[in-house]
Amino acid sequence: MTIENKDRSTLAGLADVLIPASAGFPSASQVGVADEGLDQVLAVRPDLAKPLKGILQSAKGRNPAEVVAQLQDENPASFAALAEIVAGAYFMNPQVRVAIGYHGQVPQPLASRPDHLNDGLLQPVTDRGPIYRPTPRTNRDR
Amino acid sequence: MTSHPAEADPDVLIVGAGPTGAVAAKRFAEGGLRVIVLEQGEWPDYSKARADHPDFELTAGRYWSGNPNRRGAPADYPIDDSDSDISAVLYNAVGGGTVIYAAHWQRNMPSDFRVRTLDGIADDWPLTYEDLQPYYERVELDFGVSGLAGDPAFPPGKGPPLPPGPLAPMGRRVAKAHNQLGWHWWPGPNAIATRSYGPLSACTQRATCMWGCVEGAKASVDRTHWPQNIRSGVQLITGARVRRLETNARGLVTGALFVDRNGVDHFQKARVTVLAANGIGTPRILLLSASSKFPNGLANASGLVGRRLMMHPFGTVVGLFNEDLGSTHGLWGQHIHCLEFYETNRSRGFARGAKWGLQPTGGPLSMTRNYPWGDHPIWGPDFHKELRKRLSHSAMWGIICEDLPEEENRVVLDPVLQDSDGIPSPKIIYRMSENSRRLLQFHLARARESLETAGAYQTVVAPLIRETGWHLLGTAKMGYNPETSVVNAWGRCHEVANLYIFDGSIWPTSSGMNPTATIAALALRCAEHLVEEGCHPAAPL
Repeated sequence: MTIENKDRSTLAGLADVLIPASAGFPSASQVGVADEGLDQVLAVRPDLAKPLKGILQSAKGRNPAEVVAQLQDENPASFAALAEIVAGAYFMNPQVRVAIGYHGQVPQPLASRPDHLNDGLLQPVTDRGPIYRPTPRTNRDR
Repeated sequence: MTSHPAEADPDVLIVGAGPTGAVAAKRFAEGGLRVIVLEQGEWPDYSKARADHPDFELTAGRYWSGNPNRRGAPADYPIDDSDSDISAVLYNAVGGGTVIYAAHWQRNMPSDFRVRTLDGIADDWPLTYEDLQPYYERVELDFGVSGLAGDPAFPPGKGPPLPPGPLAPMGRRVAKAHNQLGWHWWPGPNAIATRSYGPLSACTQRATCMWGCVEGAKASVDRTHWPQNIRSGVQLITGARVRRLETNARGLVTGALFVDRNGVDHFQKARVTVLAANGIGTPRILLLSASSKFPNGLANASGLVGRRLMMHPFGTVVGLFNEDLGSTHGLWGQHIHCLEFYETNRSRGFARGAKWGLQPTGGPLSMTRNYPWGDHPIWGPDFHKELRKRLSHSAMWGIICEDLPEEENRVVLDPVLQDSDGIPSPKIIYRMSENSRRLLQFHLARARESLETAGAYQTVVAPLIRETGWHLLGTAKMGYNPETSVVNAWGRCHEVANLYIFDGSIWPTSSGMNPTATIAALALRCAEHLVEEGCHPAAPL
């Protein structure tokens, strides 16, 4: 799907309503969510192109905040698609990842010994004794 | 694709290569039987597992979605869920549902097998916890289950082979809270290897268990069972979708008519057939196999094939904490479980109960979605503030509610919808009962109390979402009486002597547990009985 520059500009406006800049954190448009970010998203989620096209069509020439509010109120599915595109692109950006302290689902090997076997935390649970109802015998069992 | 040249005359034909088919095939092969397995899916493609990539959260729900209607893969059949409160979740591939399950490994409790006797409702199973206990212990070795023996929610016995995963900061907080409240908790049992174990690698806590475990630590049967099964001589035919089972004049099953991915029909003969196609796929095949001798569907003299569908309504409560819990990562999986409110207490206004599992909440994109956060605002000027509150600072209880059997909740053949081979699709008709609603509301309130006691300054009850029908149970009930059940205690159809059902379809009641442990143990018990009693391979059809 080819996105024209004016549509990217429209998307940037919508994206900044969702994710504006705040202290220490860039806005969505500042990290290229509507540019290379969008291209990255659509490369792996081509299914989002169709709802995006509809959103951009309806947003042309309108106040971005009003468009976002209307989508939220009246078209949750389209809003969810917009949010997925904007946040998806935003959180793939390396600058954003550094800013929020998230480095991906990187491996964190397990400790060699579980953290709760020798500290007495389980003792109150075992001290209470069984909490299950045992199997009753039935006529058929006899 | 066929793992070996097809056996013309196998002893046993199994339909479905999920956990039931895998466990049964293993035991049959050990018993010296010649086994063919038909699986409509292919091997899972772990090259599509994206845990190592920045787009992981964005892409996880596509290839690894549990909803066949959303996934739309060639192996999938569409399911009409327009008359259901819940959408069915399943995976058509070698490994079946274990490819995408969260691997919470929960045995049923003794009362789950005696619901009628203890609570005066629904039905007893034709077996007890004690009957199944040795099989639990054996399948836990095969699945490389991790956990800790001695849980007071269960009778004494052997624990799983691997030590439990860590409590993690979230589990430790909640454990202390439950000790303060006098409530049960225990390190979570998971079919996730905490150490290198046979074909499984040790978990690295990426929290990507349900979307393609790249480490190979989660015990899905495409890893734990099928390679060994094939080495043992089991013939696995993938891309093989069963159209119907054929029967002879004596009312015995002669084999399965199936279509391959090129659209070519084949007939696979067998002396004994075992259905292992889950609580929707199995009744679908039985209903598709109607004939003049079986006008209402195969093995359906009781009229119960497809009925009593149970899917476990699911609830979630998230807690927000000031402490950094590291909850982007962990076992997903469960760090601890709670069975404090599992048993019936009539003063609560409902029967039966639920199991809770404490889970991580994932990466930043997951912090923005409607599930589990609902309408709690994140977008706009406070976006980064809200993100900081949630990311790595939240933990959630997942609540599995017992669903009681009701005959109007059912699987039928859709009169219009068909799969890509022109085979009628299943339609599910399901309404959440008043008992389930009350049960869910009670447990959501208690779970909030749990997290608040653990120090959560805010809790969020997730909106009920449709795509939570992971557990498909009850649609070919097991029992003693042919008039009120489809199969006997060993999975043998009352009406068709050489047809067996081993999967979750045969559960008389659903328990409130994740079902794979019991599905696997029951499959082993049934398969072993068939081997020991003899499947009469020499008997003429």
